Amino acid sequence: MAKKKYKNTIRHAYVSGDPDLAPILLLHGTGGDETDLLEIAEFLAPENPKISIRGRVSENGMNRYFERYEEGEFNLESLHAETDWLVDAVHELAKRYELHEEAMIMMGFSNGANIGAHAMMAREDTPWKTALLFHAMSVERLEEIQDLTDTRVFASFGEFDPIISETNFDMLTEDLRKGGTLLSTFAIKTSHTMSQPEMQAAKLWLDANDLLDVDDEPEWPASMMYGEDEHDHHHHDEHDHDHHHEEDDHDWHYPDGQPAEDEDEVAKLPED
Amino acid sequence: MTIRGIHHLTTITSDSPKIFDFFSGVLGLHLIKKTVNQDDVRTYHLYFTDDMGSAGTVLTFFDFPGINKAIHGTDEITRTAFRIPSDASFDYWIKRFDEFGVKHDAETHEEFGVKYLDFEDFDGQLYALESNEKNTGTWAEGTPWQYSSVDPQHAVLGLGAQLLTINNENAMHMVLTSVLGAKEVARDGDDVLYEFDNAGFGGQVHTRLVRLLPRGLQGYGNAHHFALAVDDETALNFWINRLRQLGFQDSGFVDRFYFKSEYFRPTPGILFEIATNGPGFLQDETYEEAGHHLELPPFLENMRDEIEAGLIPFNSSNDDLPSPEVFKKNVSDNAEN
Repeated sequence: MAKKKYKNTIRHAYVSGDPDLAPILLLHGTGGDETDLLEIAEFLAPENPKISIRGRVSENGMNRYFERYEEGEFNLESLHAETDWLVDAVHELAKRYELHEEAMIMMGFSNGANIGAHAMMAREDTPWKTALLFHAMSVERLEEIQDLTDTRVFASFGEFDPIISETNFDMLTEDLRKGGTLLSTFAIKTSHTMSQPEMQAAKLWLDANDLLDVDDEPEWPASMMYGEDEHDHHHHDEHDHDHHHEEDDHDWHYPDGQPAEDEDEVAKLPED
Repeated sequence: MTIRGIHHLTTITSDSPKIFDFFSGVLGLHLIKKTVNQDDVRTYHLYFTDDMGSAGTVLTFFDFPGINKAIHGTDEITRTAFRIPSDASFDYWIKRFDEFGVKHDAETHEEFGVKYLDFEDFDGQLYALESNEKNTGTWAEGTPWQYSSVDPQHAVLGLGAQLLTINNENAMHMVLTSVLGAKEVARDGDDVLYEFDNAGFGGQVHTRLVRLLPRGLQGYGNAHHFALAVDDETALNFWINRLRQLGFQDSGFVDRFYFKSEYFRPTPGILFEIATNGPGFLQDETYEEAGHHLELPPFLENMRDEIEAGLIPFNSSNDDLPSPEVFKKNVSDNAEN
């Protein structure tokens, strides 16, 4: 099957917020776009910065994050390629908007939740360690699942969902638990749709676990700080190593490069 | 290991020939080096300094092709100050700015008891002249460029207090004082003045807390980064280790040929650099030749043809500086476009 070429443009919306709070990543369901979940995100995390990315696969005009052959039967090649694209896109946007990537919370509905959960299990460098999966299912059973011990997931399930069977939802939760994620599930007597009670539950879960804040207060040792009382600050200089730090494990690019051009379409959204 | 004061400031311009006319022609700074951005060689890197290129007198420009105009906001390096000898020098400069058609405030104002006159370039980049009259420190007392058309009695001495707009007061305060060793020397509402190493005005950073503005957007017409000076490589390595131990996102050691550097982000949106005072700008060309031709550090010299092909050449010898009339006309032409 010939590979479809998709544009590299990241269609997205960005809503600024308190830069010291955890950024929210929004991934829509099939047929949606980057504006769909903004209102829900506004309810769940009103102060937090938000980025919302449109899936670049189009199925008869409906936006999705990866291709499928029919309901519940997925094009795995597309899934893998688009997962890579999505994770890269998130890294790029997080950098562009200077978000606390390490504290990112992914919030997805249906197709968006599916790829969001898949990325966590499949890719080591998936930035979000916290996820809200609304009506998600397993899209691929992986042989090897990433270490998810430092992740937290809230997953909701509709008991009358015609698309996602309980068996399929169980496959997803089983895999997430296998990776070591701290999982909370929420079942509700609804169909394949977002409902008020599950949003309330999600909000409670976020607040109770204190996930909306970024815990980035630097813990600098007092002995290394210049203080009011000018005591002896002569540290032993360990500069006998090579100056060039050949094994540079820092995630950094030389700063003199041109700032990224904002060529992508950014939906302009009113702020409160 | 001490940070001595300001080393240089790097900003972004829309037009290299015009910024040459502005800084060498109007402000009387010496274009001591016409080179390229070492990480993006399609971009000029112009260094304007005092006569010999002393640390603390250096303002540099990138002209990234195709970049958007900057939007001023918070979390940015907002304004670059240049120290002039005395309060009496302002009259000279106001007259000179009028003669060249430079946009400036009608009158001086005071910040922490020191007189300033704000002015702008053609991109809306914000600058100020700062009176050196009450300065008791001695960092970066430059020697005016000897070919400048500015009266040496009133000529720019070096950089002054750099204004940073921030929206997180504590974070920047901690970085400047506890991490970098500056002292808070004055406070006035949301404005705080810090000083490194009793350096005086050439070692001052002025922060202004602004919560209402959105974050500034980098582009032509605002600053790229702000560099602090240390004596030598030993000191630079001390800072590299220290910043890493404290968990800052940093570049590690970078050899810029004219000086050695470490870059890091003190807070989101703002980029700092720590740079060595030497070796300096006159290693690869003579004083008389400096700035006239495109100079490349040795590791880029073998790419000269490609690099030159990607740049728009312009004349930058002293004889090419415009008269006030010509400059004024260029400015107004620019405004109409």
